[in-house]
Amino acid sequence: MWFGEVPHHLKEIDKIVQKADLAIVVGTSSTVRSAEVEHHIVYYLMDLLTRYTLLPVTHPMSRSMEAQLPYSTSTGAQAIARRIIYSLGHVPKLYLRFSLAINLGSTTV
Amino acid sequence: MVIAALSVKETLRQICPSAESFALVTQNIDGLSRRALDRLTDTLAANEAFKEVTPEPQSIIEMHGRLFDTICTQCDHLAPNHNNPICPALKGTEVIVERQEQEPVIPLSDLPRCTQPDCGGLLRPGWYFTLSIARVTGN
Repeated sequence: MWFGEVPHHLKEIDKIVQKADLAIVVGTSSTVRSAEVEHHIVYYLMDLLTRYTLLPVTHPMSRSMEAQLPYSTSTGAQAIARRIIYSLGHVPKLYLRFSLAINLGSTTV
Repeated sequence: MVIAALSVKETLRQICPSAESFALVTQNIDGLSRRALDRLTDTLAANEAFKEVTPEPQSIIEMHGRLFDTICTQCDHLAPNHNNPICPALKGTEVIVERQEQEPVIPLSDLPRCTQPDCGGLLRPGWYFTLSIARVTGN
């Protein structure tokens, strides 16, 4: 196990997140440092992104989220899909320019 | 495979007609997302009807590296490695760990080594773990 290392491709990921109109964060609880850092990448663009977050357990960082779905990955995936499809029909911005960033966390889906 | 399919522009546009791009940023270190994308690329290439259709290779980002890669601690050479055991000295160590028995002391010279010309440096796993020591110890 190596400690204190910086994850790969952070600049590239930053660019992707900056141009994304929709980010789906699945399976990361923000309770370990790497996830915390990765959450910051998403959350500093809070006003620009439409966010759907699947978190089985409520975390303090979750309070400011627009759409937190308190389900496990297996049951929440369908709920998140329904919400995205709904939003695609109701958020004009997504029709203008739509990029999708997904972070699957450490969960295998 | 479903997520890998979103790397194909034609598929992505069927799901979301105004989509410009798709990216999967994953902490997974199992390499399965990349394998799915590679398999999809091969399947499409082998089919005459889909020969012009190619997935976007940069759409999957494995930010924590890959468990089945090794990195040389001297020359930084990165290479996939699926050998099991990865070297003779580590054969059967998984059984020792499972039984919670004392792990053997293995000389550094018997651990996996870089095979690049004139290197021979010690290899480390190709995945990155950024949990800080302070979190582990609670300090």
